[in-house]
Amino acid sequence: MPKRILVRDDRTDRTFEWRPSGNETAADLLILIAEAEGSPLDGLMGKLELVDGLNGQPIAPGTTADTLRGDRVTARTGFVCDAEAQLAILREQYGGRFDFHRLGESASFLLDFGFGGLIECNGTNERLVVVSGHHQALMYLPSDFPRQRPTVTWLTAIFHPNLQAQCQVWPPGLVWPEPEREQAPSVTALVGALTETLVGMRADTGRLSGLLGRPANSVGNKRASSWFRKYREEIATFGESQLFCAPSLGGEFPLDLPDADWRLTGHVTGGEPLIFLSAAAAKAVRSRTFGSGWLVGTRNSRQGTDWIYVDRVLPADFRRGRPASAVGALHGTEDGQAIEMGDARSLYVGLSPDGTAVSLRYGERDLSGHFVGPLGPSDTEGSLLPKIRVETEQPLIAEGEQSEPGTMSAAKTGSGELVAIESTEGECPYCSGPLTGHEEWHNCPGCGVPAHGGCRERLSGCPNAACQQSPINSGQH
Amino acid sequence: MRTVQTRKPVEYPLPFSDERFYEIEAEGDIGSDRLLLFMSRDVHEFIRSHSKENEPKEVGGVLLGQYCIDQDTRYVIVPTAIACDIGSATPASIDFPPEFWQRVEEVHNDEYPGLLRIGPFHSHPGYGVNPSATDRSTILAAFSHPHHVSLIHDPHEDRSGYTCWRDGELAPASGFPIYRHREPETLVKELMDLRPA
Repeated sequence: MPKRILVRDDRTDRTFEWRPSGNETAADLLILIAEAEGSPLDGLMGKLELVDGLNGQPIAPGTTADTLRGDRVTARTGFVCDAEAQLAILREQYGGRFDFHRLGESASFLLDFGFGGLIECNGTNERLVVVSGHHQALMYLPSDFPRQRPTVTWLTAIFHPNLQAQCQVWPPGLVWPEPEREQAPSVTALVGALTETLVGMRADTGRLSGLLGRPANSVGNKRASSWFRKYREEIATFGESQLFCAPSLGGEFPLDLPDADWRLTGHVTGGEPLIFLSAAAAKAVRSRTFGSGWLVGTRNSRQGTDWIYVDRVLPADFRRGRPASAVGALHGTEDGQAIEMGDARSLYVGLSPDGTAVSLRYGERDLSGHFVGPLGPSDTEGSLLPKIRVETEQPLIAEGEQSEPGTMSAAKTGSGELVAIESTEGECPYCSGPLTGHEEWHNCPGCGVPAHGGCRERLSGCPNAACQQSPINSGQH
Repeated sequence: MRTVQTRKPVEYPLPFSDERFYEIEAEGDIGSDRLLLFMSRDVHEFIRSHSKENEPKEVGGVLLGQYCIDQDTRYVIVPTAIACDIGSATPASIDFPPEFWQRVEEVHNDEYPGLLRIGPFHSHPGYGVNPSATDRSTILAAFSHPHHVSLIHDPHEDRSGYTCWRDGELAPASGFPIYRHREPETLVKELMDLRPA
């Protein structure tokens, strides 16, 4: 008996019965839905997705009708694809310090954070609080997302009042808006708030519990809560430096940068401020991914003419005030939030009402042109997240060279050599990587905690939060 | 290959800093880290229309302007040009005869003393904006100083690009800003006065 599948179209509130005759796929069903609607198919691709009508899991376009588990399918706006696109934009803005992977065709995303967040580890005589640069979380979009908020499970060790490994977490202070409201819910805002939480800019230490009617269990780690209360300002400063660090343009006039092409959109008048948007920032502005955001970059002046380079756009929490490296703000196109920075030299960027053009205002002055330039330095660095790499071209041990007895063993295969490192001097608290002779590392002269030289450089100091050479204490961000 | 440094740039504010320059637009993408070219819209419009009218034959001429520096940014401004109306031209080549250079000499000396010959312009009907092998040898022979550029306009694509010298080599073709000036005659006089003849 041929299979019959009930198809519910959430967008048009219509129900169909699909009677596939052979090996039709979910992609074929999308075509049928488009035909039933009289919509051009290319207009629907990417905007429409099929999910299992019972458990809400996405159905891959190549899934054949006879392998569908249930007999109910729901067609809906492509929220998962949309979320994936939002995360891709955010990945560009975070300059290699954020990455994500969608788990198969599911609605789950593995989030990788390369920002410094605190963890606890064993020291010689005591538990140490150190900065780690590798964190992971799992985000799941439920079947009725975005009406229902995503769930986030923190996966890696963390020392934070509101985050706990292997537990469901939610950034303190973040409200998931109703989809019908002007401010559309977005995974960008969620991941932005999660990142702020990770680096310590967001923390609910429970100090005001009761006064504001918050549930007592909003604080999960009391020791961390106490620690965060004690070092509140230092952590906030450190967190801001992690997230909003200024791009390494070095103050050089963008048109003098080596080997870069700039596209001038619109026209400029001599004496007007010159605005340079990185290609990634321009993409973020046009994507409408951000309701509102901070424009992070550098500003300078030549012959009395200001110029601004916007390196990236980051999700904004305007309650906290303007970060030092924010040269302006992205005006929300949907949430109606008007951001005034109280500075005549601030840049405001938005989209024209029809969404086709970028509009710019500098102080009180509307600008009619801007440059869009090469990928910023942070975009070309690649991911800063630790990677596992197996060398297949160059063996780690040269031919004829003796390995140190008892420390390594090498297995030769037809495609190179894989060398197991069996003895290490411990683990770098920042990257969790082994401390071996292959990478320079040393004990901190201030506290004795070992770390890779590269990790210390990336962090601008010692990972041990109690050490005077820690960026949390030294102010060297 | 080395170019010879015979001219020093004169200090003059970048057009982006001078409010008398307005409606500065770009013809193509602007490459950084090179001698920037700012061209008068009138000159660019003339090159475009002259190239279109004479299709499929090539047309050409010489750009006159000034070699400037503002802080560390070196650039040339081209407020005027002289077209070559004599000599032979085919769809694939143009010849600048001695008579043309004689005329350039006269116009340059009489009307624009103090300006520099910034470089040649010519059209490439249907061949894009990159210089041909012949162009390269011409540029190398006659316009090999650091302030020299070579501009090519393709009327088929209605697109212009210029090459210049960078570290002794010809840089890839790039787009450039086109400007309007509120007092074009004053600008020419200012540019001429920067380098007294």
